[in-house]
Amino acid sequence: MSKPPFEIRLGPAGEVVMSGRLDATQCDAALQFLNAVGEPRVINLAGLEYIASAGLRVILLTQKRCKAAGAKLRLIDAAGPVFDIFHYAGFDQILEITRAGEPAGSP
Amino acid sequence: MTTLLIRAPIALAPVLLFLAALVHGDSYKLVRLQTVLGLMAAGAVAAGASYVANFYLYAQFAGNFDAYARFVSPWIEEALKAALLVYLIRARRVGLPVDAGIAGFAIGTGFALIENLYYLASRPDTAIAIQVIRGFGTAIMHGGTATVLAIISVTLYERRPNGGLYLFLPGFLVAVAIHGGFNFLLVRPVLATLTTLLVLPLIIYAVFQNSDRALRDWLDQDLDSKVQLLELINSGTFLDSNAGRMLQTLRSRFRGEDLADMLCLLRLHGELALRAKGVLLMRESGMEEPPLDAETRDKLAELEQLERAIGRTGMLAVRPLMMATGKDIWQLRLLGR
Repeated sequence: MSKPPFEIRLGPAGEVVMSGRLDATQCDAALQFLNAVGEPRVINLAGLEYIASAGLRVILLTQKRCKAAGAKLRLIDAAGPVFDIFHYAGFDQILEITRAGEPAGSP
Repeated sequence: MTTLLIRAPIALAPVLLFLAALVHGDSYKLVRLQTVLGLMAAGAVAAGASYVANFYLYAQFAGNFDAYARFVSPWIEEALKAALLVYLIRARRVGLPVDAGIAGFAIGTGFALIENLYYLASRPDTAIAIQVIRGFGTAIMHGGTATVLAIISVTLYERRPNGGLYLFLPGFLVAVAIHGGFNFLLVRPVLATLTTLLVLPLIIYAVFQNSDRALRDWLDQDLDSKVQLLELINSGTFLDSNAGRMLQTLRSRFRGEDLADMLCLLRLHGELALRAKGVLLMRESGMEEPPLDAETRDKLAELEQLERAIGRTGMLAVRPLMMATGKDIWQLRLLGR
């Protein structure tokens, strides 16, 4: 079975939408896209199946850039396993992140 | 006294700058400034102890001062500098060439500060240029030998996490050889300083570059393997995996509740390892890391409890499943363990 390709695009409401597997081979493209967006406020992770450490770096660097610009980055609709990775790594303490099916802002 | 106050900073500043560059170059911020200062203080104490030891041993020595400086004092001084490094490495307070190297250089710098102050105070008539060159060369040598000892030893410990004190011997012998060689050249302080300046910083820089890359690779690979392990455990398919089958082979030697504890330990260790890697990633990205949360503190306490319940023999059996190398054990220190 082939791995789902990684895709990153802008959603209808201007949010960044990620899907597939964000691993080391895709992080340059992801970072380039996010840098081009300027200050992304929301990243929808509903279609993201897997995130590797290289992907976590991309999110951290984007969060750092947003924070420096006084903006806040929100990750929404993270599927269970992806949400768990953020939680285990302690990133849910520095990022606002919601699990799929959970309303934004819930604990 | 005034001359000393002017000469001391000139002779000591370059090595402090070199230490600052090492600490600054540590992109994962593995060694805090407070720790560096503490290690320098420990190095200064080692210098005091070596003064006393050299004083008594030289009185018993049959040869002249040059022979003593070349063949005897390097063993004593390197051993005293190494004492704290042995503790730091064995207790996993340092676990990588980068943090071990910085710890070594800080100890060596503290040692050199005291030695140089003594040298400056005891020979006030020596030309300032010679004092500066000698002071700088000696400081880089002391920092460099402790760094080399630390890097070699921590690398050997990573390969053999359960190894004994003999793993420090190769690094110690290299440190003594460099120190003795430097003292051989001291009749020509400019040559000694130049040789030291050209060789040691280059070696240290190359090792740091390599270690940074190795840490990044390990971070990537280990994070992914821990995520996979946790996915297997959380999805209930762990026992069907290779690691799960290995755990089941322990059934004949351990009770059922011990095996249950081992499975809990694997999960907890995996979760904490991911948390530690999160800390490293935050530091690497220059993000401020949040204080340790109550959940992580509880997990650390639970891990300790599980390790006690499983016992020494059980831990030896389960360690291969945890993929617990020296770095794996060291990383939990980042969480304050």
